[in-house]
Amino acid sequence: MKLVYEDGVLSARVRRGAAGPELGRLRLDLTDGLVAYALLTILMVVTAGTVGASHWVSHTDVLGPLALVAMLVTIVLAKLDLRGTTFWLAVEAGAVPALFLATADRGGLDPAHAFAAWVVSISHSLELAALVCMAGATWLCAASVTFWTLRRRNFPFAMFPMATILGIEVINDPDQAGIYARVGAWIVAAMALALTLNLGRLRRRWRDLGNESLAWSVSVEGGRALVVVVLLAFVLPPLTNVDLSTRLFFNPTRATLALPGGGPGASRASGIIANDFARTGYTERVEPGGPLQRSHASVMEVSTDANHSVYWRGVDLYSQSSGAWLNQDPYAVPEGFGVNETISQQPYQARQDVHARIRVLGGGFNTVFWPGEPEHVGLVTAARGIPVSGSGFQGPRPLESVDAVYNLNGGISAGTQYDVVGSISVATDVQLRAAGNAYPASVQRLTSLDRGGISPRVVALARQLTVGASNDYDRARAIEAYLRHSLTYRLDVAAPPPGTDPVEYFLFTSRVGYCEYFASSMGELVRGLGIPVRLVNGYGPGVGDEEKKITTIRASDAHTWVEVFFPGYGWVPFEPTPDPTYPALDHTGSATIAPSSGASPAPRTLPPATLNPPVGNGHSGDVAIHINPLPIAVSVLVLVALYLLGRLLLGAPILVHPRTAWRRLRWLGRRVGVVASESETPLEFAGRLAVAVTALGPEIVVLGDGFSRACYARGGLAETQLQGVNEAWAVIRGSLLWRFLRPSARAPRSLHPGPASPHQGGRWNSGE
Amino acid sequence: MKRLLFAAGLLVLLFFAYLTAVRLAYSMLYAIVLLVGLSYFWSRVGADGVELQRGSPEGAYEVGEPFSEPITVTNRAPISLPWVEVIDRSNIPGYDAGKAISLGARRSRRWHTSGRFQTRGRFHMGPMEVVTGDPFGFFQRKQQLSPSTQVTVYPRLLEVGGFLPGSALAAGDTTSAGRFVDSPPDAFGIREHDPMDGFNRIHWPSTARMGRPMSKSFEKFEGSDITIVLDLEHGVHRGAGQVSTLEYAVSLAASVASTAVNRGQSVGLACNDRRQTTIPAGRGGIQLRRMLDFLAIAEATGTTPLDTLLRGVGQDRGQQSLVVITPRINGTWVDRLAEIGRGGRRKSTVLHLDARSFETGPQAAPGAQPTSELVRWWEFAAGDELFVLNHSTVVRTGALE
Repeated sequence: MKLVYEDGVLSARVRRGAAGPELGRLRLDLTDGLVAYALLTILMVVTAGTVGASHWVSHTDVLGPLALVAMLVTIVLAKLDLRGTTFWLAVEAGAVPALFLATADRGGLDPAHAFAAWVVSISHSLELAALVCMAGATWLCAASVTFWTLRRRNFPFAMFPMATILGIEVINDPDQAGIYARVGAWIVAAMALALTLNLGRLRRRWRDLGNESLAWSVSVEGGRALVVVVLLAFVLPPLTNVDLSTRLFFNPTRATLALPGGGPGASRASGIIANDFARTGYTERVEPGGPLQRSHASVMEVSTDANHSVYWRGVDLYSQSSGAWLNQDPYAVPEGFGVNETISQQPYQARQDVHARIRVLGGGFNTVFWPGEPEHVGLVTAARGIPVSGSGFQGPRPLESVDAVYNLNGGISAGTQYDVVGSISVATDVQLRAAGNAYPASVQRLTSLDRGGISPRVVALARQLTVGASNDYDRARAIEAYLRHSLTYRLDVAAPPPGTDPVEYFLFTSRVGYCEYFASSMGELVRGLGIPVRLVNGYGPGVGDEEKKITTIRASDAHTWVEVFFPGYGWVPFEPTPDPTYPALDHTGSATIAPSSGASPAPRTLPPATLNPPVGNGHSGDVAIHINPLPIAVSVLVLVALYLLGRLLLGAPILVHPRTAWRRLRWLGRRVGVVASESETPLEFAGRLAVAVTALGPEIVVLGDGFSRACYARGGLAETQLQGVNEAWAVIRGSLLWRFLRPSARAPRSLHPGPASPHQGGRWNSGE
Repeated sequence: MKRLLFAAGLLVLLFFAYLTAVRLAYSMLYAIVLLVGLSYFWSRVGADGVELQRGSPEGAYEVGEPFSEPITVTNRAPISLPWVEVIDRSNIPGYDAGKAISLGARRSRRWHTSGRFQTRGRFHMGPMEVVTGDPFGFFQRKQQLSPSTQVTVYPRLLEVGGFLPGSALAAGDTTSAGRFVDSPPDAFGIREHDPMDGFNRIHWPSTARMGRPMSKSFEKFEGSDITIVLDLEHGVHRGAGQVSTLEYAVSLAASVASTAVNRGQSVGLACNDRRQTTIPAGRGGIQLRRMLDFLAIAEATGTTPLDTLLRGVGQDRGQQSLVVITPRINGTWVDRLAEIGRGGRRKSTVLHLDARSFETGPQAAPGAQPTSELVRWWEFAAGDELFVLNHSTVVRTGALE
């Protein structure tokens, strides 16, 4: 076999013997260039990687490598001298082994048995079938992209499947980690591919024409356009900020809430997909674990009469064990309540009632959510909480503290709307500092609850952090401040090693985590000091439509926070998680966001102006426009620097036309006090300026001479002369500019020319 | 279809981006819209701002003559054009003035192209098209910016004076007895004085200059008329391209006509092409241009045998001399020519092209040359020195007017 590479074509000729007859010939046309193949591969791998990173089913990580293999195979097939039908037959033939190798768990079986087991598994496992479908789609998409790009030369059509997949992915999982980088890379690669293919096509046409070296100019102009387009695409604000899809579609599957690692709480949320990955969402337990991915599913739409945003309580968690917090208050009892029947009446001060209307978007679970502590709801419910201890409350049924409220008729379907009334705390720090620690009996029991399970290191840290604090409020604030400022918030964290206390691991080893880590840590630190504390699971304020007073709550708003009990004021919320969307809660009375509990016979209304929190602080961050000028400016500067560096390293200098240089020289001359006269010839002005600025005399004369030649000489300037003019201009420019900036360096006014005399020469075109 | 698909995709993306308010979906949408919009704007504005000027040659040229033309492309648009293809639609063989260039904003480029007319015929220089577009290849705009000009390329002209009748048949150039009563008043030349010459025949200025008596000779008009008989029967000619009997024959015919006109002789043309073209005899530049215009596009398309053509010419020719140009081997036409000579009192001239020398394959047997004294026979072969490019004469329209 003899391999020959000529003009971008690799040929393999198979002969029988050295001089025998030719048995066959294989021709691989590589004239498109390796850059085009590399860009195609990047596009496909990025697309498949983005889909894979969403983990719609398990093991989607294989999609990226599969796309890489698919591109390599299909590019070779496309560039072989095959008919179109043969190409597609080969692609389909290659799909089966590729899918098998990518998705099968061979488990030590020989290939035949493994293949049989794989085929059977597909028919039995919906998840594997979905994975195989996704892998098959990846394979075919790669083939389609290659075929339409390299065979049919139809770039838009080739990009269509990938762009569609990427668009669907972006819309369905906009909070995926690194999706901005992926989509940005995809756009850049697609534009670069269009540029490369066009350049190849033009080069073929230019072979017949007497052409210049145009590849560089086309690449430079295309590169500039690429930078502009990408920058604008990511800087321009979106047309809308409000997710309207929740008002048009009810999609139960989007609202089903996956739990981190599953757990008892899952029993109350029907339709949960058990996966080996975790997504943000509401759960009825807190168990810090591995990395989380934000789910963008819409959960509910809420409106309140409060003039500020509120947190949405789902369940209170009292019992903790090794960092996990559960809804297992041993003293809580269940009670049934009718429509709008009083669920709880709390004998605490500084409370404010909030009326809310909730419209369920993702149905299936039966938890009822509240702003603050539940009082009334327009549903038949079952509440679980601590019965009234006797002081300040009359009546058998209403509870003093409600842990959770559930719809008695089962799961609340999507589209259901109900009204709730809740009570939020507006106690100030002065009040809380003076609250003391005379806890009611029902709460006092909690101070020692599971306290023995808290690590001594955690207790020691709590004591260390609260040295100097004279009351429980200051102690809690000190712990909250430590967590907010000394540890890092991130969703993509590694799970604690098996057998490790997650709180201890978080506080002393990783120091990186999400709300569950922060809340459980604060819970243990506060409880370690003997202060009654509980965790609350629910949702953050969500993203509001200011005009319609409607807020959309998504799965990504699911949140865990901490509440500490203060005698006379009840449960007061704290926010230990330094997520930028959740500012620290202010108890000064000047600004309060109120996840709250407790009850007050005399609600206090705060001044409206002080209650307005930041609008649109959703977890997802994809709805509100937060254009921070600093990163944009830095990005622009970096791009400009890269551009200049690229020009310096790679690019041929762009020559300035002598007219332009002359016009600027005249301007700069005027700035340094040498004004050009209309009656002067260029050489006369250059001579005068050269006398005024002697250090630049030779360069100025060269520029004046070059300008004269460019304007008046037949054929203009030669290439070498033009370069000489540019070199002279480069010297003059910086120096004159510096003189302009330093007034002391300017030339005296006496250098202005006098009235033009007739023999000084004719008028000249200044080039302006 | 492609545009429809693209627009539909864009609308779907816009719909879902608007519906979901996903920031990244908007970024994708913006990127696509900006890319396509920028490309369209680039190609549209860029193409509208391009101007082209071309200084094409016009009029008549001769085969082998060089030419040159300046081409200037100007970009009036405020954006630079990374690539501009200038496509030349001229049909001049072996010539293409096209070029691919880049043009900065409000800049112009000028270059010269040169070529050589390699074949006779009527050609058009241009039109020129300019194709430009965006760097990504989404949009291209082609526009015709330079109108075409017409060029006529005449056959190559050769020195054929020695093969022609004319001066050799001038009246009074012999010392035959008697006076030439009917001698025309136009002196054609001078010769040595013969004692038999009358005194009115003596050319006194020459006699004074030479120091011996010299006599004038006079042209006899009717005897110096030439009719060129060009054999353009289909299938007769051999060879290809410039080395073919057709090109040689046409070149000889043009050369004979040019030489005769320059001598002041009357010259006409008779052909057996498809239209049996006949140009009646005439004098002067206009007659020559008329003949050259025809010869520039003459093709061997006829079906009439040379014999038949000669019979017709013989009936009409009067006192004209015939110059027959043909690659045809000896045949009845030679006898016809001799017959004409016998009846017409003038010898005919045959400029015969040796077809065998133009053939690359098996060559035909040579034909015997005629023995008739009434026919003067000149034989030409492929590659004869006469046909080697030698531009002693350049004919232009301007000179002919």
